[in-house]
Amino acid sequence: MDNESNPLDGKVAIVTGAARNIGRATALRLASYGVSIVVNAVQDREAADAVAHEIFEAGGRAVAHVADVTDEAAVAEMAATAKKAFGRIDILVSNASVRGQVPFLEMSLEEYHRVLTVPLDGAFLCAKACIPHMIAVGSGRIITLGGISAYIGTTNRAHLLTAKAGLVGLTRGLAAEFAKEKITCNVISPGHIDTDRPASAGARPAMKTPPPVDRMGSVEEIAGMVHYLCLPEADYITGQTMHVNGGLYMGV
Amino acid sequence: MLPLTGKTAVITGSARNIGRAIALMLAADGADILVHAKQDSSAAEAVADEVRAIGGKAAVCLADLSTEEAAEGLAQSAIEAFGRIDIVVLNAAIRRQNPFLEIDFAEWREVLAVDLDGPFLCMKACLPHMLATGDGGRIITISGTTPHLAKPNRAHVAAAKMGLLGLTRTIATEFGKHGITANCVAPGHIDTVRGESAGVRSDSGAGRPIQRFGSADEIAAMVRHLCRPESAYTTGQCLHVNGGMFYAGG
Repeated sequence: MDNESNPLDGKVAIVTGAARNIGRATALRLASYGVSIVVNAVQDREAADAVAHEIFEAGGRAVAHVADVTDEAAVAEMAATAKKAFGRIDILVSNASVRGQVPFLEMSLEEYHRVLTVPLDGAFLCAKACIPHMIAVGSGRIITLGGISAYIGTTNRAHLLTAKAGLVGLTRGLAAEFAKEKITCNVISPGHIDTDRPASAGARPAMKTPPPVDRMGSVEEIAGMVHYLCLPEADYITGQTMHVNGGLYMGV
Repeated sequence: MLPLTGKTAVITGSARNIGRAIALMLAADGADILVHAKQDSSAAEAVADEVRAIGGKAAVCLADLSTEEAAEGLAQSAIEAFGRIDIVVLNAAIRRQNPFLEIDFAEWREVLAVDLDGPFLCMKACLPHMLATGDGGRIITISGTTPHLAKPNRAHVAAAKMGLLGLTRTIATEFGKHGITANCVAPGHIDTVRGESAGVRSDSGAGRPIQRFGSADEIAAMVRHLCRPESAYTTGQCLHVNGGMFYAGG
């Protein structure tokens, strides 16, 4: 593929929570368009290595990196790894999250913080670590993964919904502040996506009514939107929330 | 094979600006294009020639789409030229600026006829053909920031464009089961050639995060993304391409 049809060739992306599901699909998609990938996982080295290996086997470039996105030193080290391995950072996909279900009155402050910190503090710290590198190359993309629950509400997830709604505010703030550095910042909000869920995530929230597109979405359909937002043709899109949900929620 | 090879796209108001950019970009993705203009035959033919110049197929339909017969004629033109309809981009619109108390009913109706009745009639005319393919389809309406931002002197445009969003969302809910998605693209201030009747542009491009006008190509790229198979799960949405002048998404 030549450079015109493949404008992402040579770019570098950090994808957090990339060992499985949406993160993995995003890493594979961007890698297939020539992006070098830092495959982040919080602890599952084997799964992160497997994704990096899959990218390598397909002719792409990737390194696996285990880091807790809520640990500032670990995040700094991850950015340094990207720089060392590939020389630059162009794209941050803040996808790492945790799930949990607890009725609000039984939700301890500790549990609240446990769930809040990964998507929200994690995105804050990753953006802090990556933006200077994006400024250095003259442009960048920050894409955060929200979720439909923050818009339509669901029980027993006050912590996660708070985090995901906060992520929208963080992303808009970054969009405003770093537009002059040619860094666009957008949220992608997936609907019900067919993913592998660990037992600790609890049951998938029931779809009270099926979406107009009467099925679950695929991780590839989210990765497709990430890919689009990374392209030069999306330079004028910033501060937005892109809902990919089969029409289950249509925004305000 | 290109992502839209074998598909037919009907694009209203495609003789210039955003509509023209959409026609060229969908053609570059392999779609056959029905170029539409209200009356400017030479501009429409010129866009059709541009499509042919990049190896695409194009036909032209001239019509005022605010009547049922004209909308039927638009659909028939596509069927006669290409045998099918897969994508309908409802971009034709007029803009007016007038203080509310000076908008008479005729001006109100003029704007609503083109910006809202036209899309309704075109959807009615095209959807049966989209259902007939059995391959799903795409309806994309082009809105703007006007209905989302409070601005004086645009009561009719704001009402029409917000109505268009309601119409688009309803189509999304009714036709999702047929694999037809319906989305709205809302451009911010785009560098276009403006008709005199549109009135002056409301700002210079400064004061928003990305301090420049957008290009017609940047709107067309979003339309193209929505037309591709990977966007099959995106429906009922309003996608804002506006340099951050308005943050949307709920």
